[in-house]
Amino acid sequence: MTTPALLAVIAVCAPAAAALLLVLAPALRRQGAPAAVACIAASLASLGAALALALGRSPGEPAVRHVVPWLQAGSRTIAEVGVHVDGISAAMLVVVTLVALCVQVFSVAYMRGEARRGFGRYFAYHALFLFSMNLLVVAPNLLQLFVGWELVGLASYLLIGFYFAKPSAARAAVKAFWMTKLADMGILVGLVVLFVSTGSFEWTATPEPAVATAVTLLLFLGVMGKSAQFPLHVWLPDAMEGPTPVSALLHAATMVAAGVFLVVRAHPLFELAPTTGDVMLWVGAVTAAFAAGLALVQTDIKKVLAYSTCSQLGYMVAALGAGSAFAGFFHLGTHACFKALLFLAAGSVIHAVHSNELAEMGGLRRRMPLTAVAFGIGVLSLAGVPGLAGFFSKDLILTELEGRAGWVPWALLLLTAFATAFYMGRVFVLAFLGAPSARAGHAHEAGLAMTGPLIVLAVPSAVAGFFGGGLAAYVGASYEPHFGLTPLLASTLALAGIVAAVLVYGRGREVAFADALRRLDRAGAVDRAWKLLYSSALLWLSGVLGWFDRYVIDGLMNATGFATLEAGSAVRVVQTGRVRDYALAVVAGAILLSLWGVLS
Amino acid sequence: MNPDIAQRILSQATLDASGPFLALALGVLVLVFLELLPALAALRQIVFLGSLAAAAWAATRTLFGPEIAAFEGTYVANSTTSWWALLFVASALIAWIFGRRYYRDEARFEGEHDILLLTAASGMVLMAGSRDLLVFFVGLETLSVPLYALSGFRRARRESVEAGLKYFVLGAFAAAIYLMGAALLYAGTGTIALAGFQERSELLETPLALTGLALIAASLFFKISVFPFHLWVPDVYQGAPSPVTTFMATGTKAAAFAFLLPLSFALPPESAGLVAAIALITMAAGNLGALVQTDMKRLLAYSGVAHAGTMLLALAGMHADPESGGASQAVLFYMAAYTFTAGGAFGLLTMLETQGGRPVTIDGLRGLARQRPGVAAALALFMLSLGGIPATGGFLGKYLVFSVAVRADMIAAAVVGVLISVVALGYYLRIIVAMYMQPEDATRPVPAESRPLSSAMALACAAMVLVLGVLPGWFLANVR
Amino acid sequence: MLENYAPLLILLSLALGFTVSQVVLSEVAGRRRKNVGKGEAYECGMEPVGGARIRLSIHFYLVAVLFILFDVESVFLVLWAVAAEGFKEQGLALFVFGEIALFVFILGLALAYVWRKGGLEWDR
Repeated sequence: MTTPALLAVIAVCAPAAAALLLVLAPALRRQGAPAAVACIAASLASLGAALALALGRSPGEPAVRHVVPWLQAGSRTIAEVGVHVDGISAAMLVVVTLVALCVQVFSVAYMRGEARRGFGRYFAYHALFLFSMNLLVVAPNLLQLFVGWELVGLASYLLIGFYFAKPSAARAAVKAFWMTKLADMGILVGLVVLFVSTGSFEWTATPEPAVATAVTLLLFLGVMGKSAQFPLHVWLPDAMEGPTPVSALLHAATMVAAGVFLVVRAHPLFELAPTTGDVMLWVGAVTAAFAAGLALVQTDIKKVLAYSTCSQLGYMVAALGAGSAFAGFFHLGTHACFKALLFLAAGSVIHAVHSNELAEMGGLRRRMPLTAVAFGIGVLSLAGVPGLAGFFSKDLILTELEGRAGWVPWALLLLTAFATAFYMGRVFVLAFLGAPSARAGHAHEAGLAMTGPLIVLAVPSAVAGFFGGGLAAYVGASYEPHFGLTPLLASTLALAGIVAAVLVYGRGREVAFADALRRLDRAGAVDRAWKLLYSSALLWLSGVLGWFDRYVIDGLMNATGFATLEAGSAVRVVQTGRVRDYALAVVAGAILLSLWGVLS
Repeated sequence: MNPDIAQRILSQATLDASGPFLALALGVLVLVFLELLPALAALRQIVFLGSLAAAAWAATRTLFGPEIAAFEGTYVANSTTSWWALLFVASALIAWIFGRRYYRDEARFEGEHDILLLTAASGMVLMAGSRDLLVFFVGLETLSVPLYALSGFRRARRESVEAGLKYFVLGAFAAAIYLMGAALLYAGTGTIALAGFQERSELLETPLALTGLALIAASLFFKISVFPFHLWVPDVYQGAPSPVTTFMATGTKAAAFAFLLPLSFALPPESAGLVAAIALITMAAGNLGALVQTDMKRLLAYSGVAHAGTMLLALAGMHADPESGGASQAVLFYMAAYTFTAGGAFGLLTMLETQGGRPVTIDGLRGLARQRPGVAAALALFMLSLGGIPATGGFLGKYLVFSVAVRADMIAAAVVGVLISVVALGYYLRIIVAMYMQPEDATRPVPAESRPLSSAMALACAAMVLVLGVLPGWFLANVR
Repeated sequence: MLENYAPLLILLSLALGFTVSQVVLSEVAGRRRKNVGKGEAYECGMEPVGGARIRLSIHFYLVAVLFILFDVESVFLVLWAVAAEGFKEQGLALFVFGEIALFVFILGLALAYVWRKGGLEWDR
């Protein structure tokens, strides 16, 4: 095994070991603190391995693969497991492990109030998640990627439902599971189609164009579920029922980006299917605009960020649809940093005021200056203010979209850029500026465990954009920041959005906008549509199926089961317990065999 | 008589080939010697384990090498026989470890127990390597006679004595049938060596030889418990002491299969259909019988019958198309998975039985998941593996066997086999349901007693089941 | 094909014929002296009438089995003695002697074991 492969294996196995330890040693887990130590130590090892791996690679170096056969049929290997290290997986590993470590350290302070048992359980889930995510990232083929994909889905389910005693959290967990699982069926079918047509699970496989379109569309269905694309996005806002650090790690920075990562990874496959690209372009643009519109009117700080995540994922998907894997991947990286920063800062605020509602906050900049600055950096970066990370990646996407599909997606995303700046400005104004609310009066900055990760994440959120060229060279793409019309328009719109937000909310003029905005408040519409679909169509269908199942299938099953049991009793009859009967059977069998031998 | 016979017999190749058998036989002799001197009783366990270890070491030496023939070609050692030998060693070790502290009234006969166990293991090794009907017979008796005694080892219990007697009478019967078959084969072909059969294959078509083959097949079918020769299995497995049952279920079956595989070339190709039919009937009889059982050992006995039927299907596939190969690999892998699965399951039952002081029933397992989560989890894993659920060794074994059948164009048989296997899930899941979803019987708590050695063995078995199920690549690459 | 079985058939009819003829002959030609002892089934010297689950001394069987065991094994010695002459001429005398010595040693070990375990004592 070569050094890069070994490092990748360490990055995957360290959290796996921690998770296994915490599962096998319940006593340790229930203690709480040791669980956190084990989990964070594993993440640290993972991050170390990822950094060593990434820094040890020179740009343009060929991919390193180390695989062992997994499933074999005769002499043929159906699938392999192992690690595949190239620029993309190395960079992604660093992002994932860095954010994970920050979030876990932050969690130590954030979850301090939990009972010991819950505290340990929380970190056990985190270790499971990091293992699954790393397994996905270094996967050498789509099958292992899918295994990791399903495992992160499991971790997500467990973590959303972490407060399972709360009915809304339990419901949200089940909803997230169902929605993403529904979409995952697409991947499963897509993989089977791919394997049947090409005989492999490699993303470098080259099926017929029609098959490629079918496979990529099916894969994209899974991506829509995991990366919360319209209309399968409804689970993500509800997923905010989980602890805020979980939202930062899974539902903003890493897990939801797995869909984008899948497309980046399987880019050779997607290139064969231009139709899928068009679908992705439109789905991404519509999601971005739609989710941004909903973000404008949320009163819950986490919901704003959740819709914002949907919207930004829409950007990435649109970029992938336009055929620019690098633009999508670049935005994935910057978004991971600044969205995790925003969520953790929001977590810090929520921790201080014990509420998610924007109305309960206000004037926090004096009480929590560090959080305010961190959140501010996140806001500016997300809004796309020139110089900050989000600016570069978002503008790259917009530039890539120029002229595509009659400029409509481009226009939609520009509009979204304005809306993004506006709603983030709104959140910042409502939470940090103005007069303190009753609750906000006693708020104070938490300890280093919380502020440390904020500082660590604020740095890349601010400056990561300047490393775009380096990243491009690292993953084997090319990137030249250029300052044409689109970036100019976008940054003007971003600044305009922020200014508008300050003017509207900073001066208490939101009343005038309230009516207009309320019309936008159709957050529930898609939910209701799904509910309608479920309740009328699905419930009717399931009613019919249920009847069929109960009376026809069950009837058959019961008949079969009854007959089987009867047959079982019949078998018993020959079991007399008498040696002579058994001997008779042996002799009879021997004679019958001999007769057959002679007569045949 | 050849003058250099001494050199031939004492050559390095001969020693290499018969190493595993010699190690076990020598262990038996030393153990008998230790019985003479009570002062040395403490050495017993060391000698036993050392003998097993030496046998395993000797087997690994021929694991990857070419085939070595010894004793005028009547005995060979190759990769396959070495794997079998390793499997027998594992089987003996499992039975021995779970048998520690099991015998209360018979504790002073533990020395005899170890001797008998080791002798039986040496017989198995002899069976797997033999390429001659008489050498095989010697192995068969070396295996069987100690097992008769072991089955009746708990002399104070009527069931145990009954099992021993039944097994003895029927086993002697089967041995007689075997000898009759061997005699007829000799009469028909003039040889008792497998190589001789190959040379004179045209003589195998004569009625005399065919009758002989049929009788030999019948007696081997008796040992692997195939319909209609399986009737003794539930009674004997249930009555015999649990550790002995563990050994019988895994080792005996494996040893008979180990000889059936090289022998099967002699069977006429048209017998494939018959063998497949017997296999399917056996699977049906075993699974249907197991469905209505309440006693765990009896249930597992029937399940063992069904598993023997499944493996026989691979043999039928080998017949239909000898070129396809893979049947030997499939059976070996299946048997390995089965050894660790059934060994672990019977072992856990032994543990529970020892601690509870009574036979284990399905009802007795209710609520075990709360009282003994570790034991319940391991038992559930073994049940899933027996049922052939993916990610366990049992699944892969079934997959290999059925794919052999499919490659041999016996698709109908494979489909029926899979369907019958589904029936089996019914009773395996019933056990899991009892352990995990039914309230425990508060009046009959399961006493927890620390038994680190047995627990470690159960854990090792569970690990092997998972390794065989998840990472079979290495085994499949090296097992031929 | 089936004519190949002619020798078997002849053997079978001979065996059957002999047994049947003996029984019939003794039935026809034999004199009968009825008494209680003759009416009983012959069963190795034990009482043949009564329940099946009676206790009986195992020693008789033990000694009988031991006798058969050592008796049969000793037969090997005769075979060896016959063949040994030929080996001696080939200069393998020491080798074949070593072989049989090992065999006798194992036999002796078994005897010692039986002795030690009290298998040879009639009264215990």
